[in-house]
Amino acid sequence: MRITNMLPDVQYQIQQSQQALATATQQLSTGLRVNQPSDDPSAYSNMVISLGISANVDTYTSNISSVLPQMQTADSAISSMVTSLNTAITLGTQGANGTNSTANTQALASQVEGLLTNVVAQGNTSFQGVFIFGGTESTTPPFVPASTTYNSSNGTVALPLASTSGLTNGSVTTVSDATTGDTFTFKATAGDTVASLITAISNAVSAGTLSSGVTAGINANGQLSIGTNNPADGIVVSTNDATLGSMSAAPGTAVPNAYAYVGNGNSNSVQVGESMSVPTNLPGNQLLFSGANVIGSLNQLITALQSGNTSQVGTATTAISAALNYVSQQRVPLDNTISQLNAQDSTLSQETLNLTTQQTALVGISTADAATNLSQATLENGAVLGAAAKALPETLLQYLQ
Amino acid sequence: MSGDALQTRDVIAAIYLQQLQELASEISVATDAIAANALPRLQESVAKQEMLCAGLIKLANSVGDGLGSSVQPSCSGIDPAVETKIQAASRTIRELNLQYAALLRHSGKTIALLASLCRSHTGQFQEAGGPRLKYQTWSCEM
Amino acid sequence: MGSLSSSLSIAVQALNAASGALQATNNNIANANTPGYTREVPILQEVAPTTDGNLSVGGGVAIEAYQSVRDELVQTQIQNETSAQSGANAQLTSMQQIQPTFTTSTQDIGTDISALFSSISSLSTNPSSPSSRQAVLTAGQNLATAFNTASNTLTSQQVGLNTQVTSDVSQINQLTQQIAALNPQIAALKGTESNGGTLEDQQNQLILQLSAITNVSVTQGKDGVTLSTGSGTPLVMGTQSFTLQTTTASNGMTDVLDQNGTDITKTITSGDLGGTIQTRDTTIPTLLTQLDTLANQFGAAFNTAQSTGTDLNGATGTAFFKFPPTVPPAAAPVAGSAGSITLALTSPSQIAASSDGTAGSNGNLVNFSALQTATLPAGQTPGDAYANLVYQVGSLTSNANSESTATTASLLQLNDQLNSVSGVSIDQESANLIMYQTAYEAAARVVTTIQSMFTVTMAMGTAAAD
Repeated sequence: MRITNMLPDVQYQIQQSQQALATATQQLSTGLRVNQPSDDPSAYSNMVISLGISANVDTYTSNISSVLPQMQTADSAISSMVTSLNTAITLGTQGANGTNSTANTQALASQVEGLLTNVVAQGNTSFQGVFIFGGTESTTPPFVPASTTYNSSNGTVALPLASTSGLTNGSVTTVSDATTGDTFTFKATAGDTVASLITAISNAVSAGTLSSGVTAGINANGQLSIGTNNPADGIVVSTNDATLGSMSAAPGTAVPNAYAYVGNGNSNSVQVGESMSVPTNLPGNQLLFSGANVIGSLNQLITALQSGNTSQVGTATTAISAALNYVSQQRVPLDNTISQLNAQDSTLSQETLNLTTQQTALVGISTADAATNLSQATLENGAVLGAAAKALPETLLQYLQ
Repeated sequence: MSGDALQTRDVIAAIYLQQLQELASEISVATDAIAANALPRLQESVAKQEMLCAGLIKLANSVGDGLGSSVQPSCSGIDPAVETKIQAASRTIRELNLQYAALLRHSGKTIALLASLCRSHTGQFQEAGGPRLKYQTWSCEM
Repeated sequence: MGSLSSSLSIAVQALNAASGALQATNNNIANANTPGYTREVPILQEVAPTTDGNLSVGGGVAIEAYQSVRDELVQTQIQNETSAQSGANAQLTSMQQIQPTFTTSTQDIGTDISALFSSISSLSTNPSSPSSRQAVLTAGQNLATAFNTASNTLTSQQVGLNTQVTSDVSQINQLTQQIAALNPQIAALKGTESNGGTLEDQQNQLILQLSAITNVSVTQGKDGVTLSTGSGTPLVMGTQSFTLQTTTASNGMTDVLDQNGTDITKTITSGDLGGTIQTRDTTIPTLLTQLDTLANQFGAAFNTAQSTGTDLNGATGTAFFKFPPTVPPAAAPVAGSAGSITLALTSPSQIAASSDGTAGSNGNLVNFSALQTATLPAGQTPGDAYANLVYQVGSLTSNANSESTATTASLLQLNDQLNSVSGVSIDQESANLIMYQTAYEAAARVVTTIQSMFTVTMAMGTAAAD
């Protein structure tokens, strides 16, 4: 077949070889064989999915580095509590033998008070603005000094509150008890009155949520008064009901060394792996109230030391031993989770490596291959231009760039 | 899996790779043959392609046996370097195959076209005499 | 020779009937074993013609007759290929402008979906943190914007293609006028001693330009060339040219009408006009529907997750995304979702992270995170749905590219043939028909086998199966 017009052929070949040259150059500079979906649709879309997985792995890794410090803070706080409790036992044991003078036992009582203060302070630890032992009520300190009496801000002699006074629909009133460690919550519905609240509190006492001796009523000043007649017990009350105003402790009614827990028992969990989530907080009531009343037992020891009654001191010291056991047990799951997180961190690093390898297999090209492609393409391009030059000397200039 | 089984797999995978590369080259030959209207070259190439495909399917089955689908790339059981090359060769063939298919489509249309031309052709053919008479007969309808 | 040329009437409806069956039957038409002819070797014997079936056989073999048949064939093939090439290029150009939106970057939909889920997971480590909450809102708005951008890219392509339809139709009308004008001139020169060749060349060039715009059937007759498009819409007959018109349909798209007002839009399947229509009316709407469905269902799922929790102030969560002008909580229609989706929350405190009413609880966030691995009503997870969309865009672009490359190579070959001067026996060529057909069928089987082998090969003990 005689070819009379070579120009289109040569043009085409030059175009093709320049295309190959451009592709090889791009491969070398990006390290990618596949730079856009059309280069290899199935590899590219698989890579898109793989990148999604990689993003998740990165997030899990960053979650671990967010929660680990918080959990380590919780662990040190508990460790400090354990140290305090151990010291309290030592002091209690000392105080239980009959050889102490009154001055001694008073001094011991004072030291135990210091230990109690520390335990409460640890319980109120906050990490980056979050109170870590409050359950999900993490915006205010969970352990609050208790008093025997709380009165409403509304209600005066002239304008007293009455049992028939209506409460605001949806308002919440809480009573936290230092002895039971529990919180009674009353949520008002339409038609509820102060009497409804008083009745509910009484029912909570019967149920054991609140200690016996906690009562509520309208006092001589016309205020709603909620209080306990047990001098060793204390409560903390709060409300957002407009009828009541706010609740505050009556002056002079603070119970020494008594603290109520105003947090809740809920915990958050955070995902740190494809199918791995860990709880990130230990609620304070679970830690200090549910197995043994830790704060209460320290309080008990202080009172016993102050009174000088050695058998009471002995009993109180035994109670603290039980409390110490309980707190130590609480630490175990926390420590396990911390180990788990560290292990998971390594696993995630490995996973990142695997994913990167997979992605490279899909769309990458080794530098060596890319370089080979490039030199090959350059060679061919040169050959084509050379051939074109021989065939079309006067038109070669069109192809020089 | 045993070391022996692994090794056999590697050997088979290497043969697979070689045949993939041959297939890629054969498709290029066929594409050129179509473009040049070189029928005998095309027929020869297609026959080779058919043979290579059959062989590849058989090989793939014997490598894939018992591997199932694994999520970890490291558990493939084949030398990763060979595996990468196999994937690369596979992709090259896929691209060539696309162009091959396109050319076949267009060339196929030409045949139909020619057939219809012949149908309306009222020119004249020479009839051969002797032993070559009716050695190959045909007609076409649209 | 004159009688032979004029008796050659080549029906080229084959262009439309190319998919028709080729039936080989045994018939008594002998294969001419005449040797190959070249220009240097003059012709041959006259034999009395016989008729058999649809063909007349026998008779002399004229080189000019073969040459012109062959030229007609090649010319027709060139027109076909030109139509196919232009059609592929129209599709390719569009897809190449769409593809960057679906290429991974810092702000494509896939990356933004991932980022949104990441921000929610990070928020779970400190649910009351204002900065972590703000990060979720930012990620949400980024995703909405990515959807908007993708939708705009597709719809603005459609607008551009729409304009192209009008411009193509106007070009068609110009060309058919010129072609028709040449018919009488060419006819006038036939039978005279003058050479009508230059005018014929001119006409051929115009027909070729027309093929680049639409699919064309060409028939030679005594009145000159007859052209039609679509499924028989006349364009040129004798001295007359038939204009095409355009009209705007209710969906705002420009449709093509014949001279009588009949809608022929769907019958234009090749050329720039065919490729443009195909892309505008089929390819893009398909992609757009999938995009809208994803945006709609993803947004609705997120809004549902909001409603199961409480925000920083203890109130039940309100809608995360909205689809103006639809007023939540009414369900938005799918069409247009990707273009309209936007963030509905105005403050970080509105994110409903809590499951117990407190500000410190993250218990509702798990309902958001679960959406990453849950199937949307359309049947796939959000990530997979997007990856699927990417695959389609890639395939469409890649196929158009291959088609364009193949047709270009083909045209080159054909032009070479047209310009070449050697003669080939048409009998030899027709005898090869069956062999070619058989070879192509066998090759097509190989193509299918190779396609199915790809999945097997890629799955050979690797995780990257497709």
